This record gives sequence, C-alpha cells and structure tokens, in this order.
Amino acid sequence: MDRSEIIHQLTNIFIDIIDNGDISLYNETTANDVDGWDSLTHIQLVVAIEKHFKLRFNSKEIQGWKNIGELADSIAGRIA
Amino acid sequence: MIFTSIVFALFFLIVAILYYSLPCKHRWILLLVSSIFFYMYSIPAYILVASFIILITFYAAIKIEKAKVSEKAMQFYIAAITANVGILVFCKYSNFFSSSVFDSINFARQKLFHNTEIWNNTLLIKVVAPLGISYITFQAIGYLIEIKRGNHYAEKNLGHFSTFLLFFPKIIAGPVERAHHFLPQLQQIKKFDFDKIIIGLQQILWGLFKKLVIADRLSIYVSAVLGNAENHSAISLIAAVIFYVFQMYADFSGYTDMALGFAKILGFDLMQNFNRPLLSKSVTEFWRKWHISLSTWFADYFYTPLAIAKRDWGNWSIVYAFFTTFIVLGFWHGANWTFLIFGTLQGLILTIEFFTRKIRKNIRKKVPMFLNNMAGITFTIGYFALSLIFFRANSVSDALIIIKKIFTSRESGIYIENPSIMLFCIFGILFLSIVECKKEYFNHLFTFSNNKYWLIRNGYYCLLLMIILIAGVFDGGEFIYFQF
Amino acid sequence: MIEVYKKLSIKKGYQYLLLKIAAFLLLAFITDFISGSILRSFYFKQTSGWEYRTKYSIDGTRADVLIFGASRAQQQYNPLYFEERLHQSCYNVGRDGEPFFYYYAVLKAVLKRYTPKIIILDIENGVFKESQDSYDRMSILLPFYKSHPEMRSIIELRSPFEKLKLQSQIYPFNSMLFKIAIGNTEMNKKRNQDIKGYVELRRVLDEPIRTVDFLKNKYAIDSNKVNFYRSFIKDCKQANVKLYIVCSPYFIHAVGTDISMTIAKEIAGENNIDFVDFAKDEIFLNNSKLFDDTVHINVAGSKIFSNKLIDTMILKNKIF
Repeated sequence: MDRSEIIHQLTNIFIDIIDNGDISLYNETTANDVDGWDSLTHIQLVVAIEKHFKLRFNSKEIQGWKNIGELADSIAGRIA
Repeated sequence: MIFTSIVFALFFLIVAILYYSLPCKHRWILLLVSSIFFYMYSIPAYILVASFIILITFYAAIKIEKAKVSEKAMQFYIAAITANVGILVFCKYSNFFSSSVFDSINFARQKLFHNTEIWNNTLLIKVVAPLGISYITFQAIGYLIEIKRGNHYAEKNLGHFSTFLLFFPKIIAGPVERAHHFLPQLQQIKKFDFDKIIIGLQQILWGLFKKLVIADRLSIYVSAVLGNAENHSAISLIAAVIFYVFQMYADFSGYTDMALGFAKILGFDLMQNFNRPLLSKSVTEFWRKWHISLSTWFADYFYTPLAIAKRDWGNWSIVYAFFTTFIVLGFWHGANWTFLIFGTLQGLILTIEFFTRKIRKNIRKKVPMFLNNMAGITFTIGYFALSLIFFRANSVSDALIIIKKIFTSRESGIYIENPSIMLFCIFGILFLSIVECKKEYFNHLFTFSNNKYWLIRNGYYCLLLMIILIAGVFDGGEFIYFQF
Repeated sequence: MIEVYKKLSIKKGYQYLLLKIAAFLLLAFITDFISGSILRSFYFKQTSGWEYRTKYSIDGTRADVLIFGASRAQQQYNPLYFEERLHQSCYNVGRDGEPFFYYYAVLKAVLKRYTPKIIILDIENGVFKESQDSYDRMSILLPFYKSHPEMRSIIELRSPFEKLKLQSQIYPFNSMLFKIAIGNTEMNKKRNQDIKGYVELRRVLDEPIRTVDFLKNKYAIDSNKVNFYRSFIKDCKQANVKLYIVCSPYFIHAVGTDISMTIAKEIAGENNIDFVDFAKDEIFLNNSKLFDDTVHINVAGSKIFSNKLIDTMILKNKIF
C-alpha cells in the first residue's frame, strides 16, 4: 500500500469518527488543523486506525506523532 | 506580594526599569534574582523546597538525556518524578491523609468499642504548602516527561532552568508553562518591543478590572450568602452560586491576564489560560477553554496515556480516563473530599456528553443556532455552578446543606441587605458578559481596545480605570487560585 | 496639536513609550478630575441617607449634646429624651459598624467648628480589638479627607499607600456611586429614617439570657485605638466639654470583664472621667423584652435606658 492510499484510508476513518465530511488530510496536517480532532477523539481515532489496518502501536509511537505524515509513516512501516 | 498591591507595582516597576537597562544577555539573571526575591518575600525558608525540586529535576533531565541504556534513563526518570510527586503530596496532602486516618480510627473505635475518646493528630506537624508548589512541580514533571519522550532537549543552564520554574509572573497561580515554550524565549535576545509593552499594559488593566471590579465585588455577596446558607432562601442561594461562577472566572482569568501582561512587558509570551469558557456550549468544550494550561497538561500527561493504555476497553477506556483524570484534577486543587466530588462531577458529565454526542448533534441540526447556543451555555454554567458548590464548601455536609436548601426551601425573596452591592454585582456581570460576547461574536465589527484612533482607544482604557476607581474593591481581596 | 498627535502614532523606542504613557496619564488625570468633581458635588448634595448623616455629623450639627459610638450608640440613645430633660439640643452622631477611628475623626471635625457642652461616648466590648476591618471601614471618611486636614492623620492609617490613592478625585467615592445616586432622590427620605441620628429598633427578643465568659475571650489590642481613646478624652478636657463614657446594657450574663472595657474604665479613671456602666443593670438583665438582640436594646429599652442615663448625669453633676 503506498502512502497516498494510507492517507486516503485515514481520511475516511477521520470522517467517520469525527463525523465531519469536510475533512482533508495532508502530510503536514496536525490536530490544530482539524476541527473536532482533540484528545478525546484522538483515542477513538487510534483504536479505529489499529482496527482498520490490523496492527497495534506502542505508546511511544502514538505519543511521537507530530502530524498525519508521521502517523502514515508508522502505518507504512508496520504493514510493509 | 499580590498583583493588585502597590508594593508589587513598585517591585515590578523597578524590575522592568533594571531589565531594560541591562544588556540582553544578562537580563535572565535579573529575572532569576527578582523571582527568588518574590518567592522569598512571604516565607523565605520555602525557597529550599523550590531549590530541591529545581536541582533534582535539572540533573535528572540531563542524566535521562545522556543515558545510553533505557533502563538507566528510566531510573533517573522515576526517581525525579517520585521526588516531585512526593514533595507535592507531602506539602499539600499530608494533613488531609493524617486527619482522615485519625477520623477513620476514631469512627472505628466508636462503632466497634463504643469508645468516644477522640485521638488527635497532635504528633504530626501541620504542614503549610509552599507558594506555588503545585505549579512548580507540575511544570517540572511535564518537563521530565517531555525529556523522557525525546520531545525536548535537557536544559544545560541551571540558571535558565531555575528562571523557568520560578518566573515570578506565573509562580503564584500559573499558567502551567511548558519548557519548550518558555526556555527558547529566555535564550532569545529581547530588544525593547514597544507593541508588546502596550499589549502587556492593556492585559494588566483588563485583569485588574476583572479582579477588583467584578470578582472581589461578587465575593462580598457570595460569602455573605454561602457562608450562612441555612438562613437564606433558595433564590438567594441560586443567585450566590451563579455569582460564584462569574467570581471564579473573573478572579482567575483576571489574575492570568495580569500574569500574562507582566510577562509580556518583559518580552515573554505565556500560554493563554482562558478562551471565553463561560460561552461554552457543553462542559466538554468548557474544559478546553478553562484553565487551559492545566487541562492540556492533564490531557497530555494523564488522560491520553491512560486512555491509550486501556484502549482495548473501547469507549470504556475513555470513561475510565475521564473519571481518573478529573478526580486527580479535583484533588490537585486541595486536600478535601469536596474537591474529589467536584472532579467526579466533571468526569460524570463528560462521560454523559461523550455517549450522547451524536444525539445532541442531531438535535442541534433541527434547532435554531441561537436557541441551541443559549441552551448549551445555560446548561454549562448551571452544571459548573452546581459542581462549584462542592468546590467552595469546607466540607461535603456543608455543600449538601446548600443543595438541599436550594431544592427544598420555601422561603421567598432574594437577600439584598445592601442594594448597592447587588447593583455593582449585576453591573459587573453585565459588563463582563457584553465584553465576552462582543469578542466571541462581533469582534470583526468594531473594537475599542485596538481602535485605530488614539482617543477612542485610550478613552476606553481611561473608562476602565475610572470604573476601577469607582467600583473596585480595595479592601484586601485575595485571588482564589493563590492557595494552589 | 496635530503634530503631537502624529508623533503619538509613531512607534519607536523608550522615549515614545514614555510620551504615550504620559499622554494616557494626562487623559486619565483629566477624566479622574472631572468624574471626581461630579461625584463630590452629588455626594455633598445628598439630603437623606447614611452619607448625609455622616456629613451632618461632621459638618452640620451644632447640638449642645452629642452622642458618639457605633451601633449601640446609634440605636440606643434617643436624643429627644436628652433634649426634653436637659433642655439642650442633642444629636446622635453614632454610626453602625464604625470603629473608634471614626468617633475620633468626627470629634476632631466637631471641635474645629464649635464646642458642644456634653459628649456621651458609648463604649462596647471589643472596642479596642485589633482588626483589619476597622481600618477598611474608614472608607466612609474618605470624602472628607480633602476638606478636613484635622482628620487626615487618622484616615491615612487605613493603608500604607492611602495618601497616594487619595490623589485620585474619584477614589474617595469608591463603592458609593449607587448610594450617592439614591441619596439624591426624594424616595430615599422615606428609607432608614432616623430621629436626630437615632435609629429605632423594634424587634422584641424572647429568649433566655446566655453566659459569656470574658476570662476565656482573649484577643490582641490595637494600640492605635487605645491612643485615640486617650486623645478623645484629652481633646474633650482641653475644650472643656463634659464627657461621659457609658457602657450601655447587654442581655448577657458576663463572667469577668471584657479586656477593652477594663482598659476603657482604667483610662477614664486616670482622667477623672465619669464612667457609667449599665452592663449589670438588673432592670435590663431580667427583661429580654427590652432588647432587639443580645447587644442592642429596642425602642422600649431605649426609653428606659436614656432616662436612666439622664438621671445619673443629673445626679452626678447637679448642674441641670
């Protein structure tokens, strides 16, 4: 799976969890850029992402993501 | 030295003049010296406690960063965190724990052995918490966590690090600053910035207004009614409780504005701590806008790790994280069961809002926005007011007396012993509400405080100053968050 | 003017900061002066209410007999009885909740204007107690700071920077805006009515007497208050004013004596001032119905007390 596909699938997960059809994600996107992405929804997003991609992150990875790009890198590294 | 005193004004004036008289690279020394002086002004010996925290945290952070083996880093990390938490718990909670232990022992002896003799905590020393201990330790703990996560470098300059923890504008009651936000500012050369100084003065004036005109005035009515709840009607108690919400907000945000203003004059940008929380449409939104530095600290270092660790529980991990976080946050405020209940009430409503978010979103789509906003704001203020009954009460039983009276009292009439006080209270709340609503909804239309015309801008500031002189309470008010 | 205005708009270094702050302070000074003058004008135009009574006590009364004290003076001594039996004009300058600083300040203002023949000073338990509240309550004297130099040293005790704060013309009227507004209305005349400064209490107490152990009730003494008490006595003596110091009735069975009362009696004795003590008067101790609460007598009690005091005054001095 290439990174653009990962980000596309992430976008669908975000739209579902945050319940907002207007979300667009890019490598540089952070929580500040997405209305409704806060510490509350962050946990739900992590659970949904793990379930969707069938993987499990560790705490250090989860706390280390600074933007969507780094999150996508983590996923790419796991499913490669 | 409280911010509203003339002594502090003189102190700050001297510091500011000296600050801009010194070369940029030496200014931090003046900040450190004046912060130490400020800290020692009340009880000098407490600087020893602060120094201990500073030294432990500073050296542990360097060791964590340098450690080649993660187990070694973990050892330093746990030692430093334990030291910080240990000091905080000892200073703030030892009296509570020992009293609770003795209360439990006495209760057991009475029930089991019918022994009515009371054993008292006469052996342990009554501990008085040092100034700003919660804020110092939280900033230190946050710093250590970021070092351990690899998100921040360990500060190698002890002077800079000490200045970060002791910086006097934020030592009394926050904001709970992040090292990565503050330390770079300390290292940057600060030229005289006219705009920042003017902004700082504006913030101080507005903070002073909120504290003296609104918070301290409301406090007179609130204390009179809630301090004597058995003798007041339900309507008086409800008025006092609602007034207390505004008093709390004006007091705390007023103090914060002053802290930010003083820091700004010295060229520092501190974290925003409030974002018009009383216009929140849900309690969840409220906690994103109230005491932001503390709630984000808890979100980043408590709530998120807890929820992530238990994420296999699904939504219940969020519920678990809510309750644990807010109970600890409640307890952070003080060693009393009332603060625990305060925290639990927050956890409860956040859980309810979490599970009902989709339903509420659907309702919002069908209801006019104005009505939706009004309902949300009213509910949020009302619920927060209810939880503040516990926050303010000296004991759980005192709080329950107030709540019982609100719902069962048949007395009529509102307590207005002094009409002048009531009029000032209502004026204060109205003024604050108008300013907040204007900033929230109509900021694009006009501004007095940033108007392009000098006369309008300064006329507005003169008006604030005159209202402070006419309506401010000068007879010794104290900040509520001082005690934390 | 335009050049100055343009200069104010330019952002540059320290000099322009100072210039802008100076310009703001000038605007603030002008606003403060105008607003303060308006408030002062309306304050002194009041024709009823508490502020009017304070003003009348300080600047207006020329009564031969003056009654000083706090609520126990204001609500217990009826001037009409004093006028009727002593055949002299009487005014009650007592003021609810005010500490000794207030009494002495009013005395100084009065003695500057004229010399009353008799002054009755009501002393209560705890009158010399150390309390920040006593200093805060001097706020009612602030409007008189400017026009009454004789009061200034007392008012300046309120806080270390009081003199600085009083440079503002508005500050003396702090927290008084609504009271001044109401005090200038006709309807205010019907509120809180008084009889030559005396305020009637109409409730009737109906409970058994309680015991207060003053031997256990220790507190710190404010030396400022004690010194003003000495000065009060001294100023009356110097002005040849006949001074009576009175402890009016309590509905309390006292064990021992309050520290302040002991001090007051001692100092009165040292100065040969008549100290009349009604605290143990059986007529009052046996009859709760003469009381509004345990520390204030009501209208009925006031009639008996005022007349009993007058009897004592006449007996002691045989001059009426």
